[in-house]
Amino acid sequence: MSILKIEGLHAAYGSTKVLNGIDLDIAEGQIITIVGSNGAGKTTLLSCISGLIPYTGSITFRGESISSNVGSDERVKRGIIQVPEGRQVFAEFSVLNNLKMGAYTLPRNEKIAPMLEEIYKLFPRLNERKNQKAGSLSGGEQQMLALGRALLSKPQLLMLDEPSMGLAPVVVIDIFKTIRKLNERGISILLVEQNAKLALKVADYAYVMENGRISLSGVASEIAEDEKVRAAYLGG
Amino acid sequence: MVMLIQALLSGVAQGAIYALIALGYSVIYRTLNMGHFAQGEFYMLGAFFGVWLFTKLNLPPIIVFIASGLLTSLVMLVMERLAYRPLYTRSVMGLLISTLGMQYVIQTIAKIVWGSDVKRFPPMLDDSTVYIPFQDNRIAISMQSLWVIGVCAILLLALTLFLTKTKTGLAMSAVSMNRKAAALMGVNINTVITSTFIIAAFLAAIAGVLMGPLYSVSFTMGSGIGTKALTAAVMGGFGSLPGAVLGGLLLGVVETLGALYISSAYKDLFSFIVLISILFLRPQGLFGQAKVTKV
Ligand SMILES: Nc1ncnc2c1ncn2[C@@H]1O[C@H](COP(=O)(O)OP(=O)(O)O)[C@@H](O)[C@H]1O
Ligand SMILES: [Mg+2]
Repeated sequence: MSILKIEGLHAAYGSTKVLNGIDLDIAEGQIITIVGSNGAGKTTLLSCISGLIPYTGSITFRGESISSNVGSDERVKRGIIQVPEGRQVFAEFSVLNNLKMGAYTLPRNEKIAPMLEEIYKLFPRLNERKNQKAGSLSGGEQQMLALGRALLSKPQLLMLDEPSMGLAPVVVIDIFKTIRKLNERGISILLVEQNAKLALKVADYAYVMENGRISLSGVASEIAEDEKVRAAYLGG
Repeated sequence: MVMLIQALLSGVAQGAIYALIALGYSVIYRTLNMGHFAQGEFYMLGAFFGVWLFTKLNLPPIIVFIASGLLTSLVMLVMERLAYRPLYTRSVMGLLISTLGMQYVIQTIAKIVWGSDVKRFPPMLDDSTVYIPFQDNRIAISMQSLWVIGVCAILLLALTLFLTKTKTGLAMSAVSMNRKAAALMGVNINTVITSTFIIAAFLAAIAGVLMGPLYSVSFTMGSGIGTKALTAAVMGGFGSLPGAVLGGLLLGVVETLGALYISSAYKDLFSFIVLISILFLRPQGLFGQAKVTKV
């Protein structure tokens, strides 16, 4: 059963074509990774799925087609949640207010206190710093905040754009453990990573993206063994 | 001493009016990173709606205030849909020019609807003067000034509570900080932009209703005060809400004291001298933050 199915997706910035017919399928409950070099169009693909930029082609979420003019707010309500590249926390807000923004689309009568407890259990650091400005957190803490904020939106599909970017190796390991934990709780995950080695280890299925096209796809462990992939993304 | 206290009071009242309009500039700037040239026209519209509701429909003052604010907001809503919203996804320069043109559109409409003659707005609130003994003299306090200050203070408090305590207010601040992230949280950006314009129009309209009875009402009354309020907003730090309030008050007081102690002929000159001095010492304004671009 697929949770997200993409067929023949095209997108452009003005006259610059960036996505040239993407086909992609995410099975429910799996971790899918997209690897590819800088500028391949990975972030652009996530922007299309989140409804931030227009596209042609079809995106089907849980069997329902989502056309290009469905707004980003509507997609969030359906459970399509993205943790953007570079975390993008609200720098002047406290940690707590950042988390509250994550719960923005939840119905007013929904109690967020127990959900906050859950997040604090997952990331105790956020609890210690809940009254601190998000802009003053370290990179790793900001990534945790961005993840926690996304979890408060109750994701069905969680899309992570380069969560390891700019983080120390120990922190990266932590983040990846968390990603696996979230997946075990039933959240389907679309992971975009330049750290292909780690991404292919944690993912079930992988797509390789080049110049706005999928050049290769398959079971993650097999992709990790592919000659060309090894040469291009795993340092031989 | 008595003169000083009286001048300070009327300076603060005038400054509170600047502050209301300046707040409009600042909420818009926060959300869109752009000025709003037509801001003063909503002050004018508020005054016209006010005089009409009060003299033609004989409504009580509280209703006149609220209804003028709402009617003005409605005009803003229509203008925003027609002339601003189609430009949100384009370069900000187009939108800026659209707000410039909007200034003349609204003035012309007001002229057609209400005519070009100056209208008298009879006093709505207590316009008496009370005298408080002070040393061997007495201080004249105009109740009008107190009303102006009081209403402005209430609006300020309401705006602060709205922005910090409500979900929509929080979302507005979130959009001003990081529009992409706010969209990814499910905030409808267009709704936030619309709310921003509506708040700006409402505040300016109330300022117009407050000031209408003190001066008079005409279709050109908005441009001068619009420039003053813009000065106040820039002085306080463009986009900063406490800055807009402080800038407005400072401007009002400087003008009034300058007129009292130096010459009323140069009233406008003082405000610009203060503006230039502040910008010379603190280019980002009193409360403005020097922009740091984060990667
Ligand atoms: N906002 C934008 N406007 C114009 N071109 C863009 C924009 N964002 C990305 N691009 C271009 O689109 C291409 C794909 O970018 P992106 O999706 O960010 O790639 P990736 O995430 O794989 O590094 C790049 O060539 C980039 O320069
Ligand atoms: Mg990217």
